[in-house]
Amino acid sequence: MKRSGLWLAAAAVVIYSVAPFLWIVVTSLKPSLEIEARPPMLWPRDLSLESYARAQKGHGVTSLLINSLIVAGGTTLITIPIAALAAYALARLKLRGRRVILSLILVASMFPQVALVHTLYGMIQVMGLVNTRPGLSIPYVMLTLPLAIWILASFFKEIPEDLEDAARIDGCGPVRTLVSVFMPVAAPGVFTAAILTFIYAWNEFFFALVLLTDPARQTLPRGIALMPGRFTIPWGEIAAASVIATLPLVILVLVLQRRIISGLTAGAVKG
Amino acid sequence: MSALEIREATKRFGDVAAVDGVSLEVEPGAFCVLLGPSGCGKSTLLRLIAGLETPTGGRIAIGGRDVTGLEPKERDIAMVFQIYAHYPHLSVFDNMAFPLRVRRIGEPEVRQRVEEAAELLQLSELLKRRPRELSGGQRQRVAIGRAIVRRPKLFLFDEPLSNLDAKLRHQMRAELARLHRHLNATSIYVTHDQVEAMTLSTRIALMNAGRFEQVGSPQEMYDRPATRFAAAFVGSPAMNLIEGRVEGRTFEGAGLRLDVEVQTSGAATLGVRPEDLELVEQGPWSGKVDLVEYLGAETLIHVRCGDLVLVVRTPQASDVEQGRNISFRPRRVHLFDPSGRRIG
Ligand SMILES: Nc1ncnc2c1ncn2[C@@H]1O[C@H](COP(=O)(O)OP(=O)(O)OP(=O)(O)O)[C@@H](O)[C@H]1O
Ligand SMILES: [Mg+2]
Repeated sequence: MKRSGLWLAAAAVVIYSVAPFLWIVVTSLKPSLEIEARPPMLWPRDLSLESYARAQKGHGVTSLLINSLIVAGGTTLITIPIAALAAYALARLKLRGRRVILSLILVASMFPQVALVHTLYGMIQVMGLVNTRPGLSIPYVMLTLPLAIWILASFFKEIPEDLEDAARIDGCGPVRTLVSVFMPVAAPGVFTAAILTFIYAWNEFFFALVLLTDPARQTLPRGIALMPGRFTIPWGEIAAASVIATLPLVILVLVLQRRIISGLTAGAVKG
Repeated sequence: MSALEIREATKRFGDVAAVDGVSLEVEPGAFCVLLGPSGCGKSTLLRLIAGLETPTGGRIAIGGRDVTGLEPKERDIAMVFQIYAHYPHLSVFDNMAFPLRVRRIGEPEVRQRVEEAAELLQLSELLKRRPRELSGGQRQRVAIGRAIVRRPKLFLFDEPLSNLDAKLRHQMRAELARLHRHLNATSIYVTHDQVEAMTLSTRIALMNAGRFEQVGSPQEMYDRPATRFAAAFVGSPAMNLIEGRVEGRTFEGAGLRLDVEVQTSGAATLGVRPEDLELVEQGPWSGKVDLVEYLGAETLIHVRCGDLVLVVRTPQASDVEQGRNISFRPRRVHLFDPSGRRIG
């Protein structure tokens, strides 16, 4: 009885969160006539990739995808090393006011984007980076650093210091300790932080809207938002582009989830 | 030449002196246990020897060579930690080979030494596994294996058994003793467990608040505790301690009297080990039985004398009942002055 209740609740949650996405997938596969059909059909009579073709032809979805990959990937590649160094220091150094520093970092991530965007636009403009992909990555790094530092610092703190001491006694210098002992153990934490950073940069819309006006450099969320024309809303293309925007994340998480959850540290401390 | 010589070593953390001017000499081949309650500075002293901490003062020499300013890797030591500190991403073989490979020892010799150590520790079948696929006792053996492949001058252990359950701890204790006999390597072993200390060591250094209370063989430690602290810490069940006064060669406290052979007079503490209290028909001391603990091979009788409860340990299953009055006499006693020093 209790079990079936649990299953029901789980099913409800899954349906609630997956159904909209499924609806988008179905829509993206309908030929345009069926999309407009009233009442809507739950399942397309003829599967068609027509919407994908039109999303590519009319809106250059692949170039949007590439832009998104560059911006989100670049953000992750910059954020994670910086965050790892900061987090290592915060986890290991006997700093006075460590908690205060951590709280300040958290506070920094709480500013509403609207409050920042004006100044930020000015700064990016001075740097001559408006309408460039690095010009978007830089603010993304700023936005994602606090979360990444928090995740990594709490993860690093769980790694026993004895592990580094053992490496030191075994004859490792600081660099070797970091590369061949600490990093492999810290990998699940690093992956988690990297994925969240990537997802954030991938989904970000507001800064992309303000800082990237050149259609050739737009990211997916921004590109999708611009698809509706003055008189028509191309539902098929929007659905197709949305599916394209979502798939990389789904794949990323599915591929890496084992690395994330696997208790790689389980053998280090008594399990 | 001593295997290890510590002179006046001190380590301060801010205002706290975790290790406070201790000196120690350890003979080659000795198994020296640093024993003491939690927070007394055992680990800190061990880390000073390892070179993981820099001393605030004093000098440390290993095998006659002053290593005070040297990095751990230059000291020719190996250390086994309380948590096993394995590298979880490496197999058992690679874990044990790691310290050798870091030192650029040739692969054939690495293989030979690891296999030799694995043989000794009964790990040969497990070399391909990851640490997380091992039981607690096996993991502990891998940690020890990682230390012995190095063939260091000095082995350091920081509470290596405290994560194991009681039965396994017992077993590993015996195994460690066997290993030490086999390798005959000088070892420094930190523990707060006095049974471990008594069974493993050839020498015990008893620590309290950053200083040594007493350094000696397990037997000396047990038979002639140098301080009241040593008397109370070593032995299980603990020594009975009776507060009182010595006046004219007679100790009196808690309603109990005893003739003693000391010249001084004044406040004093009398100590009697539970097995040194003997049940007798008619005795100098008597009290009411508070509790009888039958342990199989022996019986512990708790006797109330005034405000004090004394523990008497007898080998026979005794027919003593709770609430009865019994008489007993001390066979051997220890006397300490108010500062805790032994006076007789
Ligand atoms: N890195 C440090 N910074 C500040 N104080 C420390 C540090 N390491 C140890 N101490 C302090 O030094 C004292 C001795 O610590 P130590 O770890 O040597 O004790 P211990 O005898 O090993 O105790 P336990 O049996 O609990 O492991 C303690 O009061 C501890 O708080
Ligand atoms: Mg300790």
